[in-house]
Amino acid sequence: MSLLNFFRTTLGLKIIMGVTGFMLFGFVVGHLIGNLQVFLGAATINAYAEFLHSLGKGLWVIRIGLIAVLVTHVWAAVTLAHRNRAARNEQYAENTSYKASVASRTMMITGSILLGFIIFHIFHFTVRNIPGLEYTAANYTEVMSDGETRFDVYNMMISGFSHWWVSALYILGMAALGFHLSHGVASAFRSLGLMTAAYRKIEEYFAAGISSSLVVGYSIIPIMVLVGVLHYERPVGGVEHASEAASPPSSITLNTKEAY
Amino acid sequence: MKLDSQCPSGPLAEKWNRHKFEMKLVNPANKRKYSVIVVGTGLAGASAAATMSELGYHVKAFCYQDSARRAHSIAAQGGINGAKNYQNDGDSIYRLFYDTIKGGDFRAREANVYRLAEVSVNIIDQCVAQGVPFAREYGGLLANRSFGGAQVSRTFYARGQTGQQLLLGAYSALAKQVGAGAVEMYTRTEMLDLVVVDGHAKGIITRNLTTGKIERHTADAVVLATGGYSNAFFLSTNAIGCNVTAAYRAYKKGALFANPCYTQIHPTCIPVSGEHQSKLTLMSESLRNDGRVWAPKNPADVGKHPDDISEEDRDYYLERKYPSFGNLAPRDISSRSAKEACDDGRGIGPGGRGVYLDFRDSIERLGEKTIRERYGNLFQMYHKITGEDAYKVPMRIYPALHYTMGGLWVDYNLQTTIPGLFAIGECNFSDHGANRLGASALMQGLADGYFILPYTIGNYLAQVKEKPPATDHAEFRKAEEDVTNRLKTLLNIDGTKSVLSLHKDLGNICWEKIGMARNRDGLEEAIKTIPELRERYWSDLNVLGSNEEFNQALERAGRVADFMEFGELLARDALMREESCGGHFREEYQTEDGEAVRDDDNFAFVGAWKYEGSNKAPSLHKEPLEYEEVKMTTRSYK
Amino acid sequence: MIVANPDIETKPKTGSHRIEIPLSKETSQPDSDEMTLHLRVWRQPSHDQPGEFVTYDLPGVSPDSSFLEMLDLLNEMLTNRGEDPVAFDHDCREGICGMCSLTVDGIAHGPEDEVTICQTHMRKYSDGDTLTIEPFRATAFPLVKDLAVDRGAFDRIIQAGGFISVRTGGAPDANLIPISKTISDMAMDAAACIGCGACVAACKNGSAALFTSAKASHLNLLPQGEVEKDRRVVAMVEQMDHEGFGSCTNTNSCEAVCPKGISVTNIARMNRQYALATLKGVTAKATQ
Ligand SMILES: Cc1cc2nc3c(=O)[nH]c(=O)nc-3n(C[C@H](O)[C@H](O)[C@H](O)COP(=O)(O)OP(=O)(O)OC[C@H]3O[C@@H](n4cnc5c(N)ncnc54)[C@H](O)[C@@H]3O)c2cc1C
Ligand code: HEM
Ligand code: HEM
Ligand code: SF4
Ligand code: F3S
Ligand code: FES
Repeated sequence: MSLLNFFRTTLGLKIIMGVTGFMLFGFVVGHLIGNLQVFLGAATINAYAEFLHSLGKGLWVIRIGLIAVLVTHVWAAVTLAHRNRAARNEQYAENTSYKASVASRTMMITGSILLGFIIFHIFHFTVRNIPGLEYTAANYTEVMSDGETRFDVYNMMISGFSHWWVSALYILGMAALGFHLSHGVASAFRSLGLMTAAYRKIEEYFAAGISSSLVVGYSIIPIMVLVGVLHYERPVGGVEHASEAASPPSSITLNTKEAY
Repeated sequence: MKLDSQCPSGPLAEKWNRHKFEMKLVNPANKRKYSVIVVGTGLAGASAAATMSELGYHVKAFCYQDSARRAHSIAAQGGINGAKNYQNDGDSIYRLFYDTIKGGDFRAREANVYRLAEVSVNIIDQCVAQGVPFAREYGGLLANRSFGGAQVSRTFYARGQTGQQLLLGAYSALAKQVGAGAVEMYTRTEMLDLVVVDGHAKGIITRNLTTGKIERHTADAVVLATGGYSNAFFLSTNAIGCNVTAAYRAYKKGALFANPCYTQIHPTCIPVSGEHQSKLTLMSESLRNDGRVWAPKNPADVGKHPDDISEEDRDYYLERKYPSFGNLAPRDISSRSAKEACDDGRGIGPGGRGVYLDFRDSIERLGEKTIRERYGNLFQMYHKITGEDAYKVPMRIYPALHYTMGGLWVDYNLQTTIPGLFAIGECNFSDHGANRLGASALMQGLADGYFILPYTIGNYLAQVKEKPPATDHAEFRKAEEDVTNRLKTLLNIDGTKSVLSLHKDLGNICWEKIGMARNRDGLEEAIKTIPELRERYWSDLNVLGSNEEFNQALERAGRVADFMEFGELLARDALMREESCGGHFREEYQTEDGEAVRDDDNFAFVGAWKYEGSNKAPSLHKEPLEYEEVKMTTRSYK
Repeated sequence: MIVANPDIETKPKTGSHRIEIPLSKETSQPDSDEMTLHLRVWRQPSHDQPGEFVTYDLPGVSPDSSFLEMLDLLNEMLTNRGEDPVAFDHDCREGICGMCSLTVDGIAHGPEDEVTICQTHMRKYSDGDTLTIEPFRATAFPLVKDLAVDRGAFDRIIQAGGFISVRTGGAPDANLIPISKTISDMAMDAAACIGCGACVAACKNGSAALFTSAKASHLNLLPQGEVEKDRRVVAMVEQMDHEGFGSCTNTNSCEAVCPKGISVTNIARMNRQYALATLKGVTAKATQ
């Protein structure tokens, strides 16, 4: 079975890394577009989140798919890293990796930070059970004009990033992402054989451009929350500034008047 | 000893075909029962080993480098000739044949040269099929250039890396056979002796250069493709490891050595820069198309910056002496003229051993851009080595030893005087006479290896009836003992001089006495001083370490030991040949204005030397050169 | 830097022979620019014995000498002192055979780009410099001694598929298949690889991707190599893995040290051809 070679040879594994890397990259781009809707107001982003959740089983298919992709990506990365270390068991006294970019030399590190970030992030915003950072439906529900309710992702974000250390963690994660992709995207083009002499520069600029855009695009959200440009749309009960909200105050329920 | 060239009869153009028909064939089913040893994996060796194994013979191949692909053929830059007449400029097999004979100053064997020209055509086809990326024109067909005095464009080239590309082609063919298990490849393995059983070559003794292990290899025939002996002169354009050992060991076992004095000196090399120099680097002769060669007129000017030497004080000696060919005079002539200028005390640069190759006028005429386009890579290489910018300061050049036309004597079948021992490529003497034309060595190596030896060896093998001797045969034991003892002796001299320093001393003698211009006194002196040096070598050499390890000094010590004997043979041959022809220039035999004087009445023969014992002078055996087709004429480049 | 020779005297033309060319100490002029270097050299008697750095002070290095000539000088010094000379591989000393192989201060083939160490000249350095000289380090290149390593793995990659299966004789006329100059130039660019192994030595993963891809590209680009393209790339990659080379994570150090300027876009080509061949179901053993 020649297709099994993709899971066996170094080149096969690289192709897997490239494919999964591109998929993850695609997700990150899409996710950013979704997240940036936060600037369009609570209604928009909450509607978007509601739409995603309305997919029901579909959402689970996507989630499982994503996890599979991530696991495969990480598995391939670890497998190759293992082989690569074995292939160079003795190091030079100094100055290794002549002219290799920092990003390219730290893929395992940025990748691991990313992995840590992702786990934290999922517990933070999807499972929402990090102690002190719980966002229960009881507290975060938006009631719309027609009386229907939906989860208030908007306020969750504001609340979440109101903690400077949470924002800092996110920004660190984004930096790792930026580094990882500044090399990763160009690298994936090459791993998949989509690079020729003519396209090389274009692809490398693309990778640099898109990864810095991603860093800026993502980081701007926590930053805007911290500086107060993004804030609770419906300020309630003495909680004026997001930054003051040390933990999700029960008073926020007041904000979503008809929660009960 | 009568040297029978075994040339087939009949008209020149039909000899090879006729011979192929008349030769005995080995039944295809029997071929795998025969084994052949090929020493050397340059163009000649790699192509021969690959082809013979394709035919079905069991082949063992050897080289001293860590990979077959590193043989010195890799360094050839210029190109390879092939009588394809793709340029429609009147080339033909006959013309290539004639040019080669004439270029060789009428000292080569007609039938061999004709066959070489004949198969040159197939070489190009073969190489292209293997994927050799020869230069092409925009229409997609192969490009050619003219080279080395030829009046037609018949040289195929791959940038400045023709030898590399051809060797990679032959090496890949060899690799295919190694991968298929049809060739046993021994890298980092040096042949240190030949084993002759009942008068036939039946094996070799080798040393594993990594472990020092001495091994015996037996076979039905042995092929030597071990390259040339330029390194007898210490400084040459050859790789550091190039040696005469294999050929010389064969000579000592009874193979005749032909025309050792025919050595070629290349006029455009980067001069010696100091005592640290370990080798010389060739720069393409094409530079002479646009560069003007000169030396200061007055010895007093040698120390000056070239810009400070006025036009009247420059001696454009090639233009002066050879008005019609000027700076494009053939290799031997321009080399000798440079030496004369330096002997006059007019040489420039370190040690006064250099002349200028000046691009000032062409830069003025054509612009720096054009010169950069034509020779950019060469100027860059020159800059790398000398640190000088040849766009601003004239290049310094000096001749250097480059190629050796002499080699083991072989008959038309490429067999030496020892039955079962064959010699191909630069290692034999066969096709270039007293002087080789540019781009013809690559052609000869591949002709021998792909298209000639694989047939002619069959003729020999078809007559071999017994199996090769076992490696515990007395001759093997004896040969191994000799090798081991010699190594022990080298290690135990425990003197004070390094191999390198003594090799330099030998080089000095060879270059001064048997170099570009030779004379009786000098040669007689060399015949006296080389044995003295050899004496010193065997009493004052310092080789550290042991045999049982990777010991590069020991490797070299063995090679230099052979050069120490071989240098003397070179001098003897040069002394014997009382004429000037091709690469051999005897000062006593020149016209008033310094042109070579050939003596066809007395010296139209191949001079082949037979080893007679360690304290005896070798004996000379002559193979008369009979020309059926061409008439001997005088070369003139005035 | 034209050096004059004050010792030259005029001699009559015929029969004149200067006995010495400037090879021995006495005749060459003292070089005022001679340097003293501090060398930290990796010494290791063999693969299975431990190695270490040994420091030597080497005086009298001419800036005009090549790097390997500097090592010759070191070895002369060591030999005269009765110490084991440093083993290092070399042959052509003109940058084409690919035999020379060492790293200087962690850089394969030393500081100059697109130049082998044998073509690097000492005028790059100044008096008093310290140089750290190490062998090419990679698991697939087992050490032979000191600075010499065994690159037989490269040969085996070629044996696995780095050839066009034509037998000698019977090749069609060389001009039968026209090849566009662009393609032929690209093939030549890839074919320029000298098989030195610097790419592997420089790669933090010990990957042979640049070498293997250069070799595969050379043949796969040409119409002559087209027929066996799929099997070739699969077989060469399999062998590359088998030899214990690492994978390419596209860090480009190989390209930076490659003396022949082989481009990493060859790696992309190899990856593409490998992916397509594998999708087509080609394995190394499929045809032979
Ligand atoms: C700088 C330079 C440029 C040149 N340019 C051109 C050119 O443009 N055109 C042209 O036609 N010719 C050119 N030549 C000449 C040409 O390259 C050589 O004559 C030719 O390549 C010799 O090939 P070969 O196969 O006979 O020997 P080589 O290629 O020298 O191979 C010798 C082989 O023998 C092996 N060997 C030697 N001794 C031993 C031993 N004792 N034991 C085991 N193995 C041994 C070596 O390992 C090697 O594999 C050039 C030569 C030089 C030096
Ligand atoms: C979660 C932990 C992760 C780890 C440990 C990890 C690790 C790696 C490693 C080691 C590489 C190979 C290095 C290289 O090719 O140069 C790599 C490549 C890549 N990664 Fe990740 N990564 C992780 C997550 C991600 C995520 C979340 C994304 C996308 C957002 C991503 C995108 C990529 C891309 C595009 C490549 C290039 C693939 C290629 O070169 O073929 N990675 N990753
Ligand atoms: C400022 C940055 C980010 C913000 C504000 C953000 C916001 C969110 C929110 C609100 C959710 C929950 C969606 C829902 O359940 O309704 C979510 C889920 C998720 N995010 Fe992010 N995200 C950010 C960055 C990232 C990054 C960089 C990655 C990947 C590298 C990422 C990966 C995920 C994943 C995998 C999920 C789970 C999706 C699911 O299955 O529901 N996020 N994110
Ligand atoms: S690709 Fe470059 S560095 Fe690698 S072996 Fe070839 S020439 Fe050497
Ligand atoms: S340095 Fe190594 S990681 Fe790839 S690009 Fe070159 S092989
Ligand atoms: S010694 Fe041949 S490339 Fe350096």
